[in-house]
Amino acid sequence: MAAEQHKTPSVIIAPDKATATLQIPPGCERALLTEQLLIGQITGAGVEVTEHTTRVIRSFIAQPPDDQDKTISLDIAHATPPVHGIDGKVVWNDKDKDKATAEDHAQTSDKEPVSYYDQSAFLMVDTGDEIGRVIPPEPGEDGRDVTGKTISAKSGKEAQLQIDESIMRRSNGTLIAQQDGVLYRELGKAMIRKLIQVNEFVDFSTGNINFDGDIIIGKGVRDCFEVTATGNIEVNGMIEAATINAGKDLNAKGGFAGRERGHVFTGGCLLGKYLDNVAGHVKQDLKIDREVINCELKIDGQIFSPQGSIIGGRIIPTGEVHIGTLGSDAGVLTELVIGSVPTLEPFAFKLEDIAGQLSQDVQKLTDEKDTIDKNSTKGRMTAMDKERETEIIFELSILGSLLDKAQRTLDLVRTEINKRRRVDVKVERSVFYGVKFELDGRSYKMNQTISGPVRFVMDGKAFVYKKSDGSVQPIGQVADVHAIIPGKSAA
Amino acid sequence: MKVMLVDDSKTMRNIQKGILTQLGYTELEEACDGLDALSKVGAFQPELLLVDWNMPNMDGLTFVKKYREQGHKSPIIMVTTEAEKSRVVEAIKAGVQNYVVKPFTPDLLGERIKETLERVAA
Repeated sequence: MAAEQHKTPSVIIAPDKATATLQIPPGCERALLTEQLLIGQITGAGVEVTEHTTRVIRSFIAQPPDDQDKTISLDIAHATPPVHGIDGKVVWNDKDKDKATAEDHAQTSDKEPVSYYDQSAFLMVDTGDEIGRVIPPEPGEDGRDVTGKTISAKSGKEAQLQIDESIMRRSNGTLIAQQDGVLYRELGKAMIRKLIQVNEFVDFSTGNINFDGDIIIGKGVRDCFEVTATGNIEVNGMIEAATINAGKDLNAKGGFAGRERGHVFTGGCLLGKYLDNVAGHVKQDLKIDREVINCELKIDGQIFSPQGSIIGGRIIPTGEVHIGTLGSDAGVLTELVIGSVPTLEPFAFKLEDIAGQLSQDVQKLTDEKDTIDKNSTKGRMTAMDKERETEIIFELSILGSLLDKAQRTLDLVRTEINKRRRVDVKVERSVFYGVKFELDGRSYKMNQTISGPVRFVMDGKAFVYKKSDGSVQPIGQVADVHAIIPGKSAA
Repeated sequence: MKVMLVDDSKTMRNIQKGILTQLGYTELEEACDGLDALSKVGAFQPELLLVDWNMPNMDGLTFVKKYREQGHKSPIIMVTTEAEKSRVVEAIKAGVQNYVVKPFTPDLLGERIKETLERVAA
């Protein structure tokens, strides 16, 4: 009986239920193995009968018995593995406009060089830009083991993205910038900010920066790079021979060593540790802790550096100057153009030119009219003279009204210049020989050093200096005075 | 108001245009002589005409006569170097409402225009 039992087919299910095998032992009587019997045995073992199962069984029965001494294994069932879902993700439109331009250049033109200075590391976006897209997760498909039991597929997870009001997510997943700025993405968060923070240097890793907002630079700005912002710029390290354009203030905390190639423009104040060989225009005040060396600067506001020095260069402040030291004991030429309003004076000069030209034209026409009138009194005025005189009268009326406008504008500009100009230079420690003041068409070059505190002001129409003891002296006592001839150095 | 300037001198037309523009008249048409003016009055239908006397092809006086013959009633100011009284009378007889003798000032032309229009409106 036991031997007979060994000859019965058996169903073996793999532990992971991924496969099932029908094993037919040697010596098993093939004639007894009907489809019904085998299917019944398979079903009894708990294996789901599929088309594949039936096909395998039928094929086995249809085959002539081969080697009855061997165990026959029939692969009667396979599990269908689950297809797991795909996690959602965020796809960013990373192709920066500036970068694209440079890349496109590289691809399309061998001749035009790519400016690596212009390749920005920051993704600047404008309001309304499509900056990316959230791709939803895919759900996956369940599988079945050989017993017919469902093997659950894992669902894809939603992409993790936190955004604030600076980014709008549309129902189709597109991400739209709600403001101009730079796109920041980190740790599943995204936001657009009006502030660029550069932790290191502005160099080839960042490219030039041109940003509608504020910029904070953790270290310095390397040679030949340009940083432009409509707002404030703060540089914690040294600015080298770079160009800085700040719509508002520039705070050069680590100093600015321009090496004659540093340029600065600020719509607000320029604050900092020191300036060395920098040229530019400051629309408000200059406040420097230490030195301003060999700089060429127009300052529309005042200079306030009671501990600092101005050494060399040419500085044109509109407002008051309060400084520690002017010049150096080496007698270096240090020019301070005071009582000047650089923003308005060019307009005044231009208007003076226009008014002068108009006056000349008026005079010329008046002379011509007088000649015609003289002929008229002698009864020699022809029809042509009469036509010409009408033209002259008309031209004179136009020129007269233009001249009047130019004069009135010039008066306004002059009034404003007088209102803004300040002749008040307060020096705490020393004014060295070699310092040259320029004021109202005259230069005053110090021929000796005087100690502070001392103040250079206008006393009536005279340019004087006042010592702390209250004494007032004409500057001519300590300086050589020369008239400045336009186009010639007064040095 | 539509104003037609009839003068062979472009400079003079420009002067008149300048004055009229300052006075607020912007619908202006120009003609370089009487013939040119006659060809344009039908389409432009001026409400005031400033006409020079001495012009080639057709002088101002002939133009005024022909214009009136066509039944047009718009006021005409003769702007001319002809200052003799007989000439003025001749022009007025031909149908001119007012008379400006060159050289004139912008103010004078303005006054004459105003005066003419007031007279016509009365």
